[in-house]
Amino acid sequence: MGRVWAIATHTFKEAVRDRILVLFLIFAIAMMAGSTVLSWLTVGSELKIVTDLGLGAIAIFGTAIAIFIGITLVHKEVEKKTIYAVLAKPVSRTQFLIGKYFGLMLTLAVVTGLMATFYLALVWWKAGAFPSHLLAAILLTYMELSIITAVALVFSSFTTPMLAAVFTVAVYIVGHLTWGFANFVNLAPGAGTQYLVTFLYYALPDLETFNIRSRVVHGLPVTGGYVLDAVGYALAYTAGMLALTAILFRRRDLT
Amino acid sequence: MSVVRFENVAKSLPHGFWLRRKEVLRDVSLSVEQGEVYGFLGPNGAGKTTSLKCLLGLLKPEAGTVEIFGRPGSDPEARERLGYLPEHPYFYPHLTGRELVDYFGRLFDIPANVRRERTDALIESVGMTAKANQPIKQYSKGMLQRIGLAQALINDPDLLILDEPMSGLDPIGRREVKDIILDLKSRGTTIFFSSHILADAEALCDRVGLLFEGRIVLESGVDELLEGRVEYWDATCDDVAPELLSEYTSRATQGGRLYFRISEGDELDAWVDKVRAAGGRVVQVSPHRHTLEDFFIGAIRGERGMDEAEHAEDAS
Repeated sequence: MGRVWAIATHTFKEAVRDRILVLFLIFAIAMMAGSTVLSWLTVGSELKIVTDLGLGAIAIFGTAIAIFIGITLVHKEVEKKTIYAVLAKPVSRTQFLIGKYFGLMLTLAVVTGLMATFYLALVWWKAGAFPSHLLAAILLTYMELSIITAVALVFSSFTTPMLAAVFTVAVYIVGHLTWGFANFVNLAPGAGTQYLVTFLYYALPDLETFNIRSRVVHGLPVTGGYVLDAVGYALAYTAGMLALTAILFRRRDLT
Repeated sequence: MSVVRFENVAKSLPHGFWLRRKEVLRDVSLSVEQGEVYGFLGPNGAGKTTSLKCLLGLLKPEAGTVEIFGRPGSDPEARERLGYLPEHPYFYPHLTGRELVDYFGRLFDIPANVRRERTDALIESVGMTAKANQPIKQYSKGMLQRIGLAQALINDPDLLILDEPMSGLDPIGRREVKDIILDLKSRGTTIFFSSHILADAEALCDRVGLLFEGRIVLESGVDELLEGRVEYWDATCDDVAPELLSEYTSRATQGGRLYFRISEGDELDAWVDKVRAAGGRVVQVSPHRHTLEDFFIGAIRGERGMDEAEHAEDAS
């Protein structure tokens, strides 16, 4: 466990020392601050604009960082040959992968935390209070990031960052549309296509589950049970992805 | 039990655009015993680094067995007592030298206080104290090699694997690395290092193996290899009339001094007697021995010759 933690904190350190992270953070905060300007254009729903755009900014920049760092997580270590010295230590490949994964999740926790703090302060300033549902929305956004990172890690372990980026973005987009697959099953011609669609429906992550932003913004109820289910789903899906990465990566020759 | 054991190891790697597999290791068998310094030698491209990667479990051999302390190298526990310096040390550029050594110490689960002490001591011993807090991206090749050596020793290993430890070092650095290796050897550490610089191997190794085109073509103790193998003697004398020694091949004459090259031991005795009988003075007699280089070039030429002969046979 100590070794996994060592790799995780090192991955965190590497991410934090990279200027790109600061850049993303500045953009996110600029977008939230800009939302207050935008809200002047509307009458009566100022607060809605600020809450909506702020949550959107956290999700967008969180996803951008997860993909941007996630796709190079393993590939960079292999490409730059830094992995040799690490795997010559008593560290298994699985421990290495898990360490890298948690390192990025730690980075995302800190970045999401910073964005959320700024965001909640902004809402507080505008409304004088903030609904606790906002916290649930941010938590579920983070859970979505955990899945995206895991997907990026799968691709990062066997392909180039360019391809991994394409695949991960594809999964991200399709992941937000999987609810349509359930309807599509009945329309699909032939049993083969139906099986394929059903398979994709279950294999791809259902990312829309984690999007409770519009509900929160419009004051619709979100139950504790729903949030717990979503968290459970994210943990299970992530574990599956990590296991898949471990299997793919264990066989690989590190030339 | 051997500390390192290769037995009939073969490995091919994908190559070129179509990823066609090319045989890199054909048949590598060798063993390194406890407390030995073993030089793993061979020309560039012979497969030395590939062999070391198989040993560390980075590559899976297609045939044969590779073991460290009797366990497969892919088993993390086998690497617990091992230190490794990669070829052209590639380390995280964003870390400082001290952070790097400390990070690798954490991968061995070494407690923080021990780690701190060892890190300081090792950085000192490789002469990097002044630069330890600089980021690695600012390091020169020699500095990388030094910090690489420090990280390889963080767990006080029983087996040290060094891939081209002397490459990129200036003469002072080479001497220091040699001293470190000899010091570790005197403390009983087994050292397995690859090199294509034969003079280093000659100075350090107990035993050497020569890898050529994916095969071990020669494995021997260095002393046995070099013992008694005098090629010729350089003999110098003063105050003798050159005609008296005309039967010997003279290489040069300078002032009253004569230089000879004498190939046989008996002939040398006779030469000394003659010089003294003529009232001259023997200034110097120095044997010229075969070096490892001579052996290896000989061995490699032999292999090439055999290959060519095989090809010729195939062709006919």
